[in-house]
Formats: sequence, C-alpha cells, structure tokens
Amino acid sequence: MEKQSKLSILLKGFIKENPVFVLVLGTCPTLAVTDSVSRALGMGIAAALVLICSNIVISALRKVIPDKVRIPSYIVIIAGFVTIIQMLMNAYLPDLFTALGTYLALIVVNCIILGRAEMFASKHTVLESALDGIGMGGGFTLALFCMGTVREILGSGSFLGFKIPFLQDYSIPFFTQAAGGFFVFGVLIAVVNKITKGKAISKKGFGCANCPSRTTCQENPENLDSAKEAK
Amino acid sequence: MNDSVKSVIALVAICLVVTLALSAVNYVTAPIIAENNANAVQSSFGEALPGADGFEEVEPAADAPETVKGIYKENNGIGYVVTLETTSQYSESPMGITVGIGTDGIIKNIVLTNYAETKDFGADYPATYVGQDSALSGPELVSGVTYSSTAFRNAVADAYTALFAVADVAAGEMSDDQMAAEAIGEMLPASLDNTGACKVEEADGLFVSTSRTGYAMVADKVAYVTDAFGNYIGSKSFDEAATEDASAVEAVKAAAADAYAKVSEKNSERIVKMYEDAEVTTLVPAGVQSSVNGAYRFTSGGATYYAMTTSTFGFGGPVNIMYVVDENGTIAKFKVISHNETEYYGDVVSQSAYTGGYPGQNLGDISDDVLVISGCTFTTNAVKTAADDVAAAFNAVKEAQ
Repeated sequence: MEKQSKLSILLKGFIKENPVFVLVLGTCPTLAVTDSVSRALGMGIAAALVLICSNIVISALRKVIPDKVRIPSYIVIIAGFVTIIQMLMNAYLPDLFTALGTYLALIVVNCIILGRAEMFASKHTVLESALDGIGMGGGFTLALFCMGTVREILGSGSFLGFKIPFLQDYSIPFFTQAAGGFFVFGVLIAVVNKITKGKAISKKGFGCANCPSRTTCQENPENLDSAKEAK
Repeated sequence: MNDSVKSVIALVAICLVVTLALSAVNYVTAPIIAENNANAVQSSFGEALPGADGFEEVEPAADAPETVKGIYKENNGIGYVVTLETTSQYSESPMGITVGIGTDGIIKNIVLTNYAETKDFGADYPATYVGQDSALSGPELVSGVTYSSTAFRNAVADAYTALFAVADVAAGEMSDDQMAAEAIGEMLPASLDNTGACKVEEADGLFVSTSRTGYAMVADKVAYVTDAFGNYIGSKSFDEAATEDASAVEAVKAAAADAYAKVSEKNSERIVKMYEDAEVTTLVPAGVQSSVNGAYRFTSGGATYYAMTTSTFGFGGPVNIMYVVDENGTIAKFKVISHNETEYYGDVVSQSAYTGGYPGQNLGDISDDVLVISGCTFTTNAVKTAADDVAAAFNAVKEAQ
C-alpha cells in the first residue's frame, strides 16, 4: 500500500483528487442542488459530516466487519448517519432541511461516501480515515460551492440570496436549469484539468484492486484465472 | 465459528447499535421538530389572511375531508384560515398548505408550510389560486408535475367543502367547462384520467372529454351528458332552481351524434386502409359507457368483422387503440391510433413487436404475456382496461343484433 503523509491525505481531496471535478463522483446532487449557494453549502456540509463520521466508524470496525457483509454494513452505518443528520437538520435548521428536500436522504447512495468507505476507510487507521473524510468532504463542499456560486450569480443575479445590483437585471435563467448545471460542471472540470495539467490523478489508481466489484467482475484478471481453473 | 454465523452476528450488532443511536437522536429532536412544524403552521396564518387580528378554532364537520386539519375563524370576521395536509403519488412526505379565504369566498393567500417533492411545481403556482373563488376555474395543473399540482388543487377544493359545512362563506360560480367536466366525470368514470380528473375541450358549445368517451352541453346551470355514441345519459344541475329542459336534451343528442359521425368518418378511412374492400357501417350501441368510443361493422372478402376504438389513460395521456375482431371474437388486427407514452418505455405499445401478439387471441381471454408491458404499469393498465372494455362492448353489440 502506498504510504501517504497525513497532510497529503487531508489535502488531496480539495484539488488533486477532488471527488466531483476529478473523480467525477456524486454528480447527481452536484447538479441538483447547486442552483443556489445556500443549498450547495448545506448539501456539501451535510455530506461531509456523514463522510467524516462514516469513515471514522468504518475504519474503527474494519477488523470486526466480516468481508462477506462489508457492503451491507457500510450502507447501514452510512444510512444511520444520514438519518441522524436529517433529524438534526429538521430540528435545528428547518429552512435548509426544506430547501434540500429529498436530496438529503439521497446522501445514503452518494457514491463518494461508499467509495471512500471501500477504497480508503476499510484499509487505513481511524486518524487517516478522518483526515480523508475531512479532505474529501471539504473538496465536495468546495466543488458544490464553486458550482453554486457561478450558477446563482449568473442564473439568478444574487449570491447567498442577496441580490446583486445590475446583475439582477441581466440574470440568465439557463444557469439555474439542468442544462446550465451540466454546462458549468463541464467548464469547471476543464478548469481543474487545466490547473493540474490533466495529471490530477494517476490512472493506475483506478485499477481492479480498488474497485468495489472486484470479487465478482468478469473483467478482473484474478477472476478470469479462477474461472479457467474451475473449468 | 462458522463464517456465515459471524457475518450475521456482526450485521445484526451493527443494525442494533445504529437503531439505538437513531432512537436517542429521535428522542431529542422529535419534540423540537413537532414544535417547529406547529410554529410554521401558526406563523402562516397571518400570511394566509393579511390584516388578520387573531384566530379562534372552529370544529370541522364530522364528514369533513381528511385533508382538512383545522379551520380557524378570524376574530374580526374578515375570513377563515384552513390548514390542509395532502400527499401525492411520488412522495410520502405530506404537503402542508394553509389557505386564507375571505367571507366573500375569495382566496386571499396560500402558503405552503411543508413541501419536499423532488420536482417542484414552482414557487409561483400557489399564487395562481389567489383571487379565485370556490369554483377554482382559473388555475391550471402544471405539466410534468401533474400529481403534485392535482393533489394541491384537490386539497384547496377540500378546504371549501369543509368551510361551507361550518361557515357562512359565499360560493363561487363554476364555468361551463367545469360543469361539463364534473358531469361527464361523474356519469362516465372512463373519462377520468389517472389523477381522477376529467378534462374537456369545447367546440361550438359541445364539450367532449379528452378520451372522447362522453359529450356534454351546458344550459342554464344544467349539464346534459351523452355517451360517446350520442346516447343521452342524464343531466346534472348546478343550481337548486334549475330544471331539465327537453329541448336541451335533444340538442345535446343531435350535437353528440354529429360529433360521433365526424369521428366515424376518420375511423372508416382507417378501416379501409387495412381492408381495401371494406364496406363500413357505423354502429350506435346502447349501454356501452366505457372507454370504447367507436363501434363499426364491415365485410371484407365475404367475412364480417367488427372494429372498436377505445381510449384509456396511460402514463402520458390517452392511448387510442382500434381493435378489429371477427364474428367469433378473435382479434384480426390491433392498431394503436395515437398515444403519448414515454419513448423507450410505454411507447412499446405501438411497436410491431408488441402489437403483433394480439392477432389470433380471443377477446376476453387475452394472455397476460400479450398484454403486459414490463416496467410500464400505467400503460399496461391502459391496454388491460381497453381489452376488457372492448370485450364487453363486443358482447353488447352481438346481443343487440
């Protein structure tokens, strides 16, 4: 396993391995809730909290959870944290809870969270997993904030609900719609690629060893070998 | 210990711990959430009825609609606030609505207190109800959000129903198309779409349901209804003083028969395209009050056939189908005339791979393998209803001969 410094684990999620703009994970909420900055921030922080908590718990239990039931166990843990966040938000931030609507519950199936649980938390210490959660959650929030800022300013002529003089009269509603979301998403991915010169992440990092479906996938060379043996 | 047993124990333990954690958080947050919801409803009262100075709760009637959660009378008598809770098909989360209605029966404002749908019908939609009376003739349903906007509209209508039972509030006047739609929907349930509403179009004073399964004319607050073939069914009065007029009955029968004749011209052309030597006779069966809106008999190649057209509601609207059957009730042709089903899903209904399964099947005994379109519940229900209705109409036509 490649040894990484604590600082690099913390920082890689922001740009180098940004879950939205580099790993292209969690696209559904990214496009759905970024029509306003407040919704984007709310979703980003909620997902980050779930990611940090689930990473810590899954890492702490990594030697206890049998391999056969690891995915259902991760899902139960993640769903538990999402429901807790939902209840707390409904109680203490009801306006944000209403604004996020169904997307809050859909954090359960956000592939960033399950992905980090499988790829990182299940193989690293609690501290490293917590740092990974902070980094990836922060990167997700940052990405949503950038998307939300561009879309709200251009699409609604406001920022965090505060109307911007002049822009208010020349807002472009396209940016608040789904097509505008895809457009801004594409442009920001291009910007991140330009900044990192297209070398944000090594393609080696995406090998079969890190895939959640590695044990069943027919394309995995290990499975091909065992299939031949079985014959 | 066996691996499987270990796995089960680990998973059960995790579930128990998560459940305990959720119970603890729920214990703390549930009262706060309940208080927030109550405050949201209370604070919406003043917004719903501008100028209000305190409210007094009024006990709703015992048979008040379930959507009505509370009725509150304004202290100075300027109007009432009704709190409503409804759900739509796509969300179990209730939609909370507070509507302020003046004593003149006009909606002063509507506030959404809870709404967690994935697809919003837009912040402007509730505002389209402001200034409306109990007829609710102005607001349209929102395309693409039909279920939510229908639930919203029905809830507001329920508010009036509950209010009329306990308060002295002026009733609004329904428009002619509303009276026609209500009368057709009540007398011909096949005209109701999947949201339970009947929509009508008007041409020269004659209203026809979108499925063409019923016609109506309105005169002096009375709606006169015929079935798809122009057979008079009955009338519905929207004013206690109004009575049925014999000349209006004759007028609607004549207009509906004329409309059916025009539709039959097109259907005859369709039949001739399929059977070049066909000599088509238009039938006017009595007692066929279903989705069947056209019945024809024709001969071709020495054999006698019957053609029936039906219109049932799929996911995207009416699915119009023509069945051609022989004298024994065996299907000879199955043609989808028009539909608005979703591409790659319900639109399978019009593709030859699906329609090709019908010929040779017996009416009333069509196999589910032929009828069912996998993954498309609404479209499947539409074709199943059509098949049942055609079988019943065919029997009625044969018995009448």
